[in-house]
Amino acid sequence: MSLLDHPQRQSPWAIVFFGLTLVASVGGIQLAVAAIVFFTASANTAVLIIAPLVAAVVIGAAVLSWWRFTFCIVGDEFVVNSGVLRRDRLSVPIDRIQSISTEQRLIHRLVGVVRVSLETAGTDETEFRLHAVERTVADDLRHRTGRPALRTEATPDDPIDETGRESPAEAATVVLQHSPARLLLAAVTSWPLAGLVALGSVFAALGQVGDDVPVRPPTIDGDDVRWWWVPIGLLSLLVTAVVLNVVRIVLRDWDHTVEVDGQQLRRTSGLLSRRLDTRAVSKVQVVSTSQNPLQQAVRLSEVDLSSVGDGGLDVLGCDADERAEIVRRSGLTPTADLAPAGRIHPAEIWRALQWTTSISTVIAILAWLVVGRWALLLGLAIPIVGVLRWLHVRHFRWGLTQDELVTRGRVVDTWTEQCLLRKTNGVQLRRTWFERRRGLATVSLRTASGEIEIGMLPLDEAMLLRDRIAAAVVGDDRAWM
Amino acid sequence: MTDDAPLPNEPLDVAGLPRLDDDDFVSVDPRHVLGWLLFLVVAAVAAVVGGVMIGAQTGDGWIAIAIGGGLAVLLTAGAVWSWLEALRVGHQIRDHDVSLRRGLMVRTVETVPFRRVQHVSLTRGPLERALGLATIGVHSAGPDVSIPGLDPDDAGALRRLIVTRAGLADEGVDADQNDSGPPPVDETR
Repeated sequence: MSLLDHPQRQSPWAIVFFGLTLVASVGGIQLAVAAIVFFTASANTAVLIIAPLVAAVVIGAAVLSWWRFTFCIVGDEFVVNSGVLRRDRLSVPIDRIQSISTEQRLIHRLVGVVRVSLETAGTDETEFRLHAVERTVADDLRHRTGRPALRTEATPDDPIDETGRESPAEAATVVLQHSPARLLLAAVTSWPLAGLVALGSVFAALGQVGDDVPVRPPTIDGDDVRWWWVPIGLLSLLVTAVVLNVVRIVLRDWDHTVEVDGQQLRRTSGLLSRRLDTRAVSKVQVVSTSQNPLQQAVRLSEVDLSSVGDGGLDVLGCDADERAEIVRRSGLTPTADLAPAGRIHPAEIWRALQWTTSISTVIAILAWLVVGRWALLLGLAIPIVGVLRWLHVRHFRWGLTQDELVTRGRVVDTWTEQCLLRKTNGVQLRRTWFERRRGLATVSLRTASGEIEIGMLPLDEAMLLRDRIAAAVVGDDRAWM
Repeated sequence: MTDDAPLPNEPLDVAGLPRLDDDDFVSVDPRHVLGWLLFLVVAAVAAVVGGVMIGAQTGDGWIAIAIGGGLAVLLTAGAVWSWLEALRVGHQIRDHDVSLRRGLMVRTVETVPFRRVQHVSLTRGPLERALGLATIGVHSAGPDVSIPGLDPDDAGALRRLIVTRAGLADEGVDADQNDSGPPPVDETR
């Protein structure tokens, strides 16, 4: 007898999350307008009446939503009933569930519950989410759906494993567990793009506040502008972006652990919120690795396992052995053991130059009207693109084994992409006008999650590659997912 | 990655590999092309009439000629383009896969193995019904292929063929086995 044989409700703590979801569904702008109207209203009596009324409605709706939301397993299907005014029933065949993620945000940790997300291949988004359930229910769900908890030794400071959990029968192998020093190194060497985005949000907020502060900003024509402000400003921006990115990664990836047992791959991480992602290895479609110049210097890399369902699983800060082990566990050959020799035609450089020249000319003509001769600087894009594409053509290699298609390349970052041929869901041969004039073509191996594309191949070679991939699917009886 | 280690790439019997020959594609039914032309002619006529009506309202014949003529030229160019594109559309069914050829400027051949087909759809829009045509949609977990301009009988036969080759249950076979629903919630829990 399992807990899930009978319809279950979530933990009463889920009422809080239903309420928050309800409030969030109103929309940020609407809430802000309502708050402004509410707090600027002169009639205090209205505030005293309306505020409790709104709160009561939200709480009532949240309680009703929690009460009406039940879930259970019926036969081979996971069934969810929900809806207050209308009744919704969602049935998901258990064998279609691609992954189950459990997460403990700070509030979950405080009250001892977990959040569970289930994903299928039918949508790019989470199919449905249980806001707050007991740990035993989450474990039962994973066992019933064939995705048992894998960890054999609980980490004392890992709250996910603190509560009552059935002992798994299978032994898991810890492939990777980041120490704080390794995590910090991985964070510092990764591109601070997310930090720049966060910085943009901070500036936007400060700009809003700054409108109300009577401070005279320096003007371009004024005497108080010095040229060295520009490099110092840019450097400050970069440093701030890196710091924000490091904070983000430390919060998200603290105690980053990856475990595998041959069929399942599990990642746990997080400082304030602990997150557990589980993926079946068979669901992994395309494996990508990348290294930026800083990561090359410290010999770390990132691995992204693109799997069916809601996105992939990215692993930060792997050394060569860890990267090879993750690739091997995904059923592929470690790239260090491969030396693909296939190249692409140098016409790729000419194509890129044609496009860049055309587009930068049009933009430069329009920009001339606004900034005058400074628009000529756009011409710099042509040699830059030329050099980047030359590097791409020089370093790009592709190779086909009996079971795999692999590509690797280097421009600024070094990257690899690999896929088992039997994961192919479709193969496309595409020829643009540029390619047709030169007897070239592009081949795309398309999987249920991601694709590998090889452009600028001689037509005969491209057709052979396409036919080889199509034949591999027919000749391989092994399951693709 | 080391460049010294050889790629374990066994030699293939290239001559024996089944080839997807561009000559073996079945072109789209001429009625499909005709349908596109009819649709665009109707749209061009509507544009001209609309231009004339605007001109009549404003009392300026040049405005009517400019708007109606401009739209008519654009739609005619679109009609010619669509006609040429429709001529390029073709499909090919082999023992183990279905391929669709399409595109005028960017020419594409998409191949979906039957083993990867998730479901097959057959659709007939109002214009297709009027012209006696149908469209087959072949859906996989990756790319989808849509074969337009098929004779309804051929489309039905093609759908059955793909469903059979893909090992899918045909329409009507899958009954909802869980209509009884879950048991009621245990209020004591």
